[in-house]
Amino acid sequence: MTGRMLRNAAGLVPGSRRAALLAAPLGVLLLCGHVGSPTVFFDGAAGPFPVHVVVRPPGVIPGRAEVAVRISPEPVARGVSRVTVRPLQWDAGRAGAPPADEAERVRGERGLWTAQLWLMTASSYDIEVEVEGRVERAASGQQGGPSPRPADGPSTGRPTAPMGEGQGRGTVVVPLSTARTRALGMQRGLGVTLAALGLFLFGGLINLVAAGVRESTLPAGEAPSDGRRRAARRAMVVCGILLAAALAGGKHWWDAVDQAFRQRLFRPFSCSATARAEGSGRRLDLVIHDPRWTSGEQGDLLPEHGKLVHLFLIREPGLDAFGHLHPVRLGPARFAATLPPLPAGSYRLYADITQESGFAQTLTTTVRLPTPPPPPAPTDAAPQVLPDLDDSFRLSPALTIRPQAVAAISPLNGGLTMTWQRRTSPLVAGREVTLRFATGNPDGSPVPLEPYMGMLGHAVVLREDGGVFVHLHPMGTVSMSAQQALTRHLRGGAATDPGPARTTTTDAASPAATATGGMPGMSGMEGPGADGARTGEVTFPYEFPAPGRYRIWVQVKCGGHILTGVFDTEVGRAG
Amino acid sequence: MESVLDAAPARAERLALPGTLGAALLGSTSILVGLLWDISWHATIGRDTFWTPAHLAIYLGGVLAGLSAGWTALATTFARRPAETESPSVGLWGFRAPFGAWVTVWGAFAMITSAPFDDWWHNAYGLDVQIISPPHVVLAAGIFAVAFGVMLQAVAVQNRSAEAAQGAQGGPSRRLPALVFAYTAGLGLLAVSTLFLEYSEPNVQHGGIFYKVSCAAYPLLLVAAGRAVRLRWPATVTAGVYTAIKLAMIWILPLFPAQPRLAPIFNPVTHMWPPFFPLLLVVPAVAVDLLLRRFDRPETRRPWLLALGLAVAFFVTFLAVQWFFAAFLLTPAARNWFFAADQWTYRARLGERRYQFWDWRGDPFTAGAAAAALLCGTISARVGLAWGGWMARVRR
Repeated sequence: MTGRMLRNAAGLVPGSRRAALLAAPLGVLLLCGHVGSPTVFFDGAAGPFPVHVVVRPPGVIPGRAEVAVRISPEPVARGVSRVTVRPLQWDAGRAGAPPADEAERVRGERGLWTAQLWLMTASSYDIEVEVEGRVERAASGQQGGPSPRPADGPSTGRPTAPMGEGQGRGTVVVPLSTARTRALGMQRGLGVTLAALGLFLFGGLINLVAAGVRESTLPAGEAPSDGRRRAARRAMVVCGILLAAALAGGKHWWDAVDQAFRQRLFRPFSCSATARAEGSGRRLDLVIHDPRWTSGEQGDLLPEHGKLVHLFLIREPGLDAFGHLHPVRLGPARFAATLPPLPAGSYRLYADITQESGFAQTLTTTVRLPTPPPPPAPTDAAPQVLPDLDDSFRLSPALTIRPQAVAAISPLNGGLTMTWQRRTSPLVAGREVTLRFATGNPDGSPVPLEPYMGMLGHAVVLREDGGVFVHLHPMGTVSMSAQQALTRHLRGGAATDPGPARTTTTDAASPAATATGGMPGMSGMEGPGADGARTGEVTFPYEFPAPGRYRIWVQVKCGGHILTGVFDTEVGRAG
Repeated sequence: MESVLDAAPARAERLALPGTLGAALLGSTSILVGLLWDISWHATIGRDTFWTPAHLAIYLGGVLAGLSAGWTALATTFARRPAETESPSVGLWGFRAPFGAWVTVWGAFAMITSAPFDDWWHNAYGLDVQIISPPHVVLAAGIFAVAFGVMLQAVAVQNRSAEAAQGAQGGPSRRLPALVFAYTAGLGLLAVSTLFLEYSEPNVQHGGIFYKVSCAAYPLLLVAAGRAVRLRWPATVTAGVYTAIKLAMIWILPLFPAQPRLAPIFNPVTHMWPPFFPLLLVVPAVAVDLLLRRFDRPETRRPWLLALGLAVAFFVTFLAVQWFFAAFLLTPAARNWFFAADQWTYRARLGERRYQFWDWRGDPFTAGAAAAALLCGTISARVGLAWGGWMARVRR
C-alpha cells in the first residue's frame, strides 16, 4: 500500500490530468522543495553517531512518511541500542509533538533502522532523530564513511551528558516540507473490482427487499400469492429508485471531496521572468505574483547559503547552457540579476526559496534571453544591478548519452578535469546512490577544494524533460536555512521543555555572512566527505526518482574560481 | 450442531437455537464491541492501521456473521429433505435461506467492500480526514445490515417457536428465543446510539439538539422491539442489553494502558478512554412497554395517535431522568470509575468547561426544540410500530 503510494508520489499517475494541468507550463508534477524529487536525504551526525537519514514524505496529508536511518560504519552501528524519530511541527515544537517513535532495526541490513511517522498538516516539519548507544571511541575517525562531527555544526545536537560508561546519545534534525502533492487516480483493477462489488450489492439489495416482501411473513411451505408477487415487484422498483438516488448523492459527495482536494494540491508560487538588455549587459527580472505571497501573510524569505534566491537557468532543448545566479531583491516580490554571457534562447528557470517557517519550494517558469550585447565600450553605463560574486555559468555540448562508463570525465577551465567515479552497476530509479566526483590536475593529482557558498560542492540534477529538478549538497537534499530556522524555533520552545541541548550556528543569516556568501561552521566542509578539501572529492547522497535521461552539473570552487562539471546519464527502470 | 433445517414444525419441541444463529450473535456482538473499542482507540491513541484489534473485531465479526449466514443459505438450498419446501426460507437468485441470513450476507459483503474502498480513500485524500466519508458510509450500511439481519434471524426463530408452542403444552422454551431476539435488538440500539455518540456527551444534554436526536433515534427501536419481542417487558429488556454492554465497555476499556501517538496532545491520557456513561433509556423503555401493553390492541389501532402517545411518553420520561442525570454527571460525585465522567480524549483541552453545560451549536432547549423533538419522536415511533408489526409476523 505504502509502496504504491510512494511510486505514485514519484511519478505522474495516469488519469490525474488535472494535476498535470496544474503543473503547466512544464507539464510535470511539481513538488515542494524540489521538482519531481520528493525524497529527502540527509548525511550528518547525531552527536557521536554518523547518520544517513532518508525521509519519504506522503503524497497526501494527513499521511505516513517513511523514515530510514542508516548508521555506519559497522562498529558504531553495533553499539547503537535505540533510534527514535519524532515529527516536530515548526510552530508547535516539542510541546505539541507526539512521543517519539522507536525505529525498528531492519533484519538482514547492516545498521539500518526504519519508522513510519504520521504527518497531520501541510506545513514545515523538523524530523528529530535521536540515537542512543555505546560510543565506539576506536571507531571515530575511521576511514571511508562520514566521520563523526564535533558538536558545533548547525545540524547536530550536542551529545548529552554521558549516560553511563561509554554510553552516549545524540540528536539531529532533518527539515521536511509537507504538502499535498499528488492526486491519486483509481487503478483500473481496483475500479473494476469495486464497481463489480457495488453492482452486486445493488442487485442484491433490491432482490432482497423483493424476497422479504414476497415471502418473509408466510408460514413455511406456503407459496406466495399473486398479490404478494406484485407487491414484491413494486417494492423492488421503489427500492431501486431510492438506492439509485442515494448512489447519485454519494457520487456528488465524492466529486465534491475530490474537487476540494485538488484545489488544495500544492502549487509553488507562480512567478514570471523577463530578460532585457541594459547598458552594456543584460538584466533578468523575476517577479513572484502569487497572491499567497503578495498578501504578505507567509512571513519573509530565509537566506540559503547566504542568498535569498538560488536561480538556475537552463537552455532548452539540449540543456547546453547553465547559469546559477543569485538575484538581488528590489522589492517584496521583485528580484533582479545581471546575466552572465549565456547565449540567447529559451531557458527554463528554477528558483529555490525558503520561507521563514522553513518551508522550501522551487518556483518554475520560462524566460527567453536576448542576444548578448557586444563587449562594452568605455562610455557605456555600468549596469544598475551588479552581478553576485558567486554567480556562475557553464556552456557545454547538448545532452547526449554515451555508453555507460565507469568514469565519465568533464573538462574544466584551466586544464583541470572533473571525474564522476561511478560504479559499474547501472543507475536505477528508486535506488539510493552516492554520486562521487573528483577534481584533478591534468596529471591526475588531486586539486584541493575550497568552500563554495559554505559547501564543498553543489550539484544540480535535471531530467531531460524538466520533470525532475533537484539542488544537492554533500549533506543531502535538505535546505540548510530551514534546518537552522527550525532548530531556532525548537530552542525557543526549550524554556518549557528542556530537551537535549543544541548548539546552532545562527549567524549564517547575518549581514556579514551574507555579504561574503560564506557560512561559519560550514557543515559541508566538516561533515560528510570533509576530506574532499584535500582530495578534491565531493559526494552527494541521492536517489533518482524516475527513469529517464539526466544531466548533472557539479559545482566546486578551487583557486578562487567556480568550476562546473557536466555529466549525462541514463537512469533505468527498477526491476 | 443443529441448524435451521431442524426448525420444521414437527420437531419444534427440540427447537432451541440454531448453531448458526449463535455464530451470528457472536459476530454481531464483536462488531459492536469493536466499534466502541475503535472510537476509544481514536480518542486515546489517535493513530491506527487496518490491523488494530478494534478493526479486526469489527471486520472478523462481520465475516463470522456473514459466513454463518452463508453456510445457512448453502445448507438450506442443498439440503436433501423430502419436505424441502417446508423449510422456513425465502428464495434469492436460485438459493434459499432465512430472510435474516440474506440480510446478514448482504451486510457482510458491504463491510468487506468498504475495506479496499476505504484504503484507497485514505491513499487519495489523506488518513481519516473525515469520519463521515463515502467508504465509511458503506461500512456503516454493512454494519447496520448485519445487525438487522441477525435480528431478523432471531425474530423468525422466536415467532416460529411461539407458534409451535401454542399448540403444544409444555413445548419448547418460548423464553429463550425471545431473550435472544431482545439481545439482538439491544445490539441494534447500541449501534444507533454509537452513530449519534458525538451528540450524546453529558455536556450537551441540556441542549435542544440532544433531545431532537434522541427522540428521532431511540423510539424507533424501542417501539419496534416493544411490539415484536415476545417478553413481558420487551423494550425494557432491549434497553437493558444496551445499558449492560455500554457499562461493561466503559468499565473494561480504562483497564488497558495506552498513550496518545498523534499530535497535538492537550490531555496526556494513560489508558483507554471510556465512551460516555449509557443514556438512561431503560426508563422511557418501561413507559413504552406499559403504553403498548395498554393501548396496542388489534381492534383499536390508530397508529398515528398511538405513535404520538409513545413519543410523549418517551420524551417526558427521558427528559425527566436524563436532564437531572446529566447534571449529576458534571458533579464531583460522578468523577470515578463507575460513571467515568472525568475521562477525556487526548485532544480535549482541559479546563472549567469540561464540567459545564455547553450551548452546543447555539441550540438551547426551548419550547420550539421540545416540539421538534416530539415531532421527531412521533415519526420515529410510527415507523417503529410499522417495523415492529412486520417483525412480529416474520416467520422465515
